[in-house]
Amino acid sequence: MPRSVIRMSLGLFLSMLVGCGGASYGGAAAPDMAYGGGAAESAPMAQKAAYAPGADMDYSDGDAGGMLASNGPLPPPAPPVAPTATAAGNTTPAPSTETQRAPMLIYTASMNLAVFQVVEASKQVETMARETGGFLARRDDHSIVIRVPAAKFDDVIKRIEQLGDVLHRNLTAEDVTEQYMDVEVRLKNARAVRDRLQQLLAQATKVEESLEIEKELTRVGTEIEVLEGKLKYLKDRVAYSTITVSFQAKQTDSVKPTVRIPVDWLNQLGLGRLLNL
Amino acid sequence: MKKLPAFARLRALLTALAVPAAFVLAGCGAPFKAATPTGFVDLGDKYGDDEYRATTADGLVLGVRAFKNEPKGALDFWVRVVENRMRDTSGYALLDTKEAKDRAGNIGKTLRFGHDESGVPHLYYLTIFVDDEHVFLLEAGGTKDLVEKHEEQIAWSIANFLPS
Repeated sequence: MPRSVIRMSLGLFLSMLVGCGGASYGGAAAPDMAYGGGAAESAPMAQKAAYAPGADMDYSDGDAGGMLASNGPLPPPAPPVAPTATAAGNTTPAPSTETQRAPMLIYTASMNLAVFQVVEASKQVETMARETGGFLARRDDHSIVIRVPAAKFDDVIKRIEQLGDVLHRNLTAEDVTEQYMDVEVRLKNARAVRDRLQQLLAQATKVEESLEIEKELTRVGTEIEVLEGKLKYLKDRVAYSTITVSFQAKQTDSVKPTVRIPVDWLNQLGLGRLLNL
Repeated sequence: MKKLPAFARLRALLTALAVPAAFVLAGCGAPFKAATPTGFVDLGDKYGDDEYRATTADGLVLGVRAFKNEPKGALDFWVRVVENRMRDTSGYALLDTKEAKDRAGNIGKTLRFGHDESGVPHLYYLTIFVDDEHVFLLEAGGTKDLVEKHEEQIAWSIANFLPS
């Protein structure tokens, strides 16, 4: 193969890599690299990659097409867009397919409970995590952090509220759909480039060409690993909600101002004074 | 001028001192009469007129304090103020609230709080009575086990509390 041809091919794929920063999901590149390309995959494959909380998660870093057919139940707090399955063989262009995708939401809760029977309550929170298929993420004297399957998020929150006096709580749902799709498209394109480079490497006849292609393969391989890591991280955060339970008084810099009645004896309440005879 | 006998002079002197003293005492006495349940010791002479303390040998403590009702507020106001202070600022868990009645038939409110002290669960009960002049705070506190063991005595001390 003439060296100039190889260089041209390499140049073409490098320019594709530069241009696949995720801004366009429409797949201006070859059809098999387009984000919407996976929509035509078989239903079983699509179901395998459904990311709705509570469904069996596939952490095989997968297949971009699978994400399009997310037809599992949505997270309990009822995200605004209902998921719909993409019919096999559907040739709908990528942008319209995107609108059918269930949103990927990361649920996070922070709850502040009054300081009473902390040890017992903390154990119960951990037990809840295990019973619901989650796990303990961190624990210290004043707080505990658990990760629970997103489908159980609501249930666990309600159960924690029964544990004690909830002084404050903050629930958030972060939509990472766009972020996920961006990484997914970049990963798919990077893999396509890697495959093509491997083909070129197989066809290379000169050592110099081979070295050049291998160098590029290494770079693309590293990028694929990084993107796969990001994808896995996002999947994990969507699949498992994070709940932080703190046992302490409300912080003085709380957003909600507390009215302080100017009466001195209010500062003399509590066990500390009473039990100090 | 005829001199009074020594006994008569002493009696006049005592009378002269006793009358103002009686007025002073009438104005300075405790504005309440606390009731000390069986098993508790009154530590009253260690505290001022506006405060009463009693304790068991194990460390369950009862306390009564009286404050001027200033700014003048009704029972609901002071209950809410105390509840907010204990929960928001001090992180006490409000376990429940219930109505209380003193010996004179006045209606008050008991707030039952829980709080860990050095990792040990404690209970802290605050009963509030309010009249035009005073806010009365009846406190009971100790480890959870002790308080639960003495629930009846605590209830008795509240039911027999008497504002003056």
